[in-house]
Amino acid sequence: MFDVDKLKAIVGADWVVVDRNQMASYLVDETYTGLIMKPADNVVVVKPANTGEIARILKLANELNFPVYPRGGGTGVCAGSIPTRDGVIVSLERLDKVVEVDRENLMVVAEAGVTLAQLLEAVEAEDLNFPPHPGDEGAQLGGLVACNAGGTRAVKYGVVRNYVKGLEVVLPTGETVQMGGKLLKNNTGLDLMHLLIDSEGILGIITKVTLRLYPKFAGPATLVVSFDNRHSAIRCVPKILQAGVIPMAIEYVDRDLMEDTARYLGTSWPVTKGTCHLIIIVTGTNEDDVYEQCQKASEICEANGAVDTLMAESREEQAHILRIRSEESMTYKAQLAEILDVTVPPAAVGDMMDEVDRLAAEYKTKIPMVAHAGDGNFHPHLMLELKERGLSTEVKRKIYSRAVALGGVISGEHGIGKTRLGELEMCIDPKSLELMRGLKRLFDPNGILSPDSAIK
Amino acid sequence: MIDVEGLKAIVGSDWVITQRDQMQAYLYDETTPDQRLEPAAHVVVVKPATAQEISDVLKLANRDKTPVYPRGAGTGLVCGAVPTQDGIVVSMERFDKVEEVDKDNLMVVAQAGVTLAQLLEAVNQADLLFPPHPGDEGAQVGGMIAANAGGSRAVKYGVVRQYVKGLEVVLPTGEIVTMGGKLLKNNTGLDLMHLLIDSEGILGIITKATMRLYPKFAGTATLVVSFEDRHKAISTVPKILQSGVIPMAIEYVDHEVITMSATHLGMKWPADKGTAHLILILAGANEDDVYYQAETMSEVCQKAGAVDVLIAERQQEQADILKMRSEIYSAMKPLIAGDSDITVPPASLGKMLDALDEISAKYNTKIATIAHAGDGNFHPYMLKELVERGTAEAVKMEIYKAAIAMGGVVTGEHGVGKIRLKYLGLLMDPKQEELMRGLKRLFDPNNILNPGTAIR
Repeated sequence: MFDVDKLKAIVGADWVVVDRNQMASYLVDETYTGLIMKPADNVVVVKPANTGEIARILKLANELNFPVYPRGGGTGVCAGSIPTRDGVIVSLERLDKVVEVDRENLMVVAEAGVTLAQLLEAVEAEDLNFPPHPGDEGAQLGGLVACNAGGTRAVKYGVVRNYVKGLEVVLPTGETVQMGGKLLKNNTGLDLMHLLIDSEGILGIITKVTLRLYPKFAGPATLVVSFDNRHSAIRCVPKILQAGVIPMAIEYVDRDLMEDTARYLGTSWPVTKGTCHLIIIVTGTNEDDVYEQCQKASEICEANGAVDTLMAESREEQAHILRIRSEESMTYKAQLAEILDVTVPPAAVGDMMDEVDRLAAEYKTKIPMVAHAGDGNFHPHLMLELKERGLSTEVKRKIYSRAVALGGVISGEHGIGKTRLGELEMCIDPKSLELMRGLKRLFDPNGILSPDSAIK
Repeated sequence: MIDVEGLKAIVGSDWVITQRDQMQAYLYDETTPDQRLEPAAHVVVVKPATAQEISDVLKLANRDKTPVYPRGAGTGLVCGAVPTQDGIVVSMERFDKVEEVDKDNLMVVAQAGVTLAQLLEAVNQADLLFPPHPGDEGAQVGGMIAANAGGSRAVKYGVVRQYVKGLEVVLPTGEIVTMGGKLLKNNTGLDLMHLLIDSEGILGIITKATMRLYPKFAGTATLVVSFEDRHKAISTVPKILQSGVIPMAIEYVDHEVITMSATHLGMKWPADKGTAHLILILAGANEDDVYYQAETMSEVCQKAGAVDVLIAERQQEQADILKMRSEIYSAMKPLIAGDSDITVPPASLGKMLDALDEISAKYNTKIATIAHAGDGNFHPYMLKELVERGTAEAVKMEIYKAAIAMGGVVTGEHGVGKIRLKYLGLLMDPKQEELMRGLKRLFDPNNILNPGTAIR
């Protein structure tokens, strides 16, 4: 079907994997085992060296009508990169060069296979900063852009979309196009670049990215503020922002989740008061600025129900707190079926979490949650036992329903991929879906690029 | 040809204008006289009150294949709103309510006919800030979004796109859809909302917008930095941005041009040294922060070779400086034949200004420029006499080619509209233009919405 010889002729025989045993890691991503789709039986992995080879592969795909699945770091959580039909996985791993860190323009140009870790290193070596921290440092740039990755710093630093200024893309029909560039303003024609961002690999294969950079910030400093009441915590968030303090991150956590995680990691959570916390991470233009922001944020919390405030300034202390927060899902990993990615208007987070608690009680299950309180995006964890009881879809849809009723959507960061297609219609109207399908057909008339993903 | 009775039945006969002498204001925008396109002979203006009325108007237009031209405040500079074919002008002026300033979510929901001035006032009253200052305060929200307005604060605060979180849009085929909402993260399906932003009124009529707000900044300071030559001025900009301070605005002006503006206003430009100036506007969370920024800027500029640094802290001083900068266009208007709106990578601005000098010499003319030096967007002014000599077009093309060779585009803020269609071939490859046409056909199968605009 996909003519392995022709693929070998394009990328070289060394860069084509047909042996199933040798491609195991390309057939899965970070989607939970309970949720992930089975990869198709006949899959070939190719590892092109450059944009030209990718263009030829896509032309061949159109000619012979076989599906192509772009593959980045495989850190996605909704099966976006899983080849569910017989087809060809195109791995971006060899497009791994940071082409240029341009200090004068404050831009970095990097190939799509560059990892977040590589990018951060290259940028920091030039004494600059790529502010968002959208997730797993093993993620690749192409994937970060295709998913419009979010992360904890969105409240202050926005999501990846804000930083993308240029893309080189190979379209499903094989043309290579340049969109944007090292430009901070660009109003020429319809914005294809912004359409490619968050297109989850269905409108084109991103091969190169131009991203905006910033000077390094001072800080961070971390506050762990304790409350006895979730709503008091959540209500502090707008007050902090209105006061002119925009922390780099504002995370809501329940204390018992932090304690369980710390115990699991063989350490302890440094705070013993309150039932829940806001973890507030502050950055600024200089140390005084960071200090003042922390002061102000503390004052506001104290005036609004905080029972304790811990300020961590040393690297170690902060890293310790951050680690426990980051590893929160590890505690339950074996018992987890799925992590949801619901987003509501930030002020509705408290209500939304109450609803999740209510459902947990009603269904006699546990649904731990963490919330990016500054941006309204939060992650309820559904347990395997609920799935085994055949109830996880029902509970999930009730959570989604409530979120939509509050003005929210079913995915803030992780995307739709393949695992959320069933619920897409809960938050997108039929006409918009029709337009999205039309867009897909326009870019990919033969439907060969990452079929069955992102939209239906 | 235009079903006037049908239109009256939809909006009410009070809200339909058929008399030519009563509709003059709706037939033009702010495009300069030499570039202006003539409005068609048979135009009807309607002023709907609701999205449903607009929907009905568009359905009627589709039925009869009548062109429809959305109209905001008419502050555009590229004939986007001018009805160049017989058709219906839909004025958004009755969509003039700020529906909600939501302090807890830091969002404002405003109808598309709300002016920038109105928006700023409503937001200010709630003690919040809409940071970008995209242009004419008479501009309306719908137009600012359809044009992805930029302005002088883009270097710090970005362009309008970054603030748009939700839209209500009436599609060319009449459906009313809601995209996004009060959400800071939203990764659901293909991003139609971002496609609508900067769509220059060809993919839908925006009726309502939800936009992100910020806390007010506590104070501002304005620095006027003088340099002996333009290169020193421009090359200081990256150093400023690398320093960690991001000014709210970095404006470059020729001494000659700013003093002309001052004279025109009967004012005095406060800096008498140097031939080129950077105007830095700093915004901070508190006085100390503003002071710190001003100090840092002063140091950086002096190290970079500035011959003078003036710091204005009093409101009136700052307002005066801003006024002289803002009125440059009016001061030059009698002498110039339209402006261009070019963006290059910011670090290439010096080279670009050199190219302008070469072009000026070649054509024996003078091309004055003001530049948003922080973002690479600048406006060269060509003298009227070039039109008289018949060389204006040639000069413009040389400027465009020079910009494009440096990785730039022919419009950063003002858009393509109707007057820049002929230049699209310079920057866009045929495949991208094909995709844009395809997008247009998908949304607007009968090509009735603002035909002849933005794409060819």
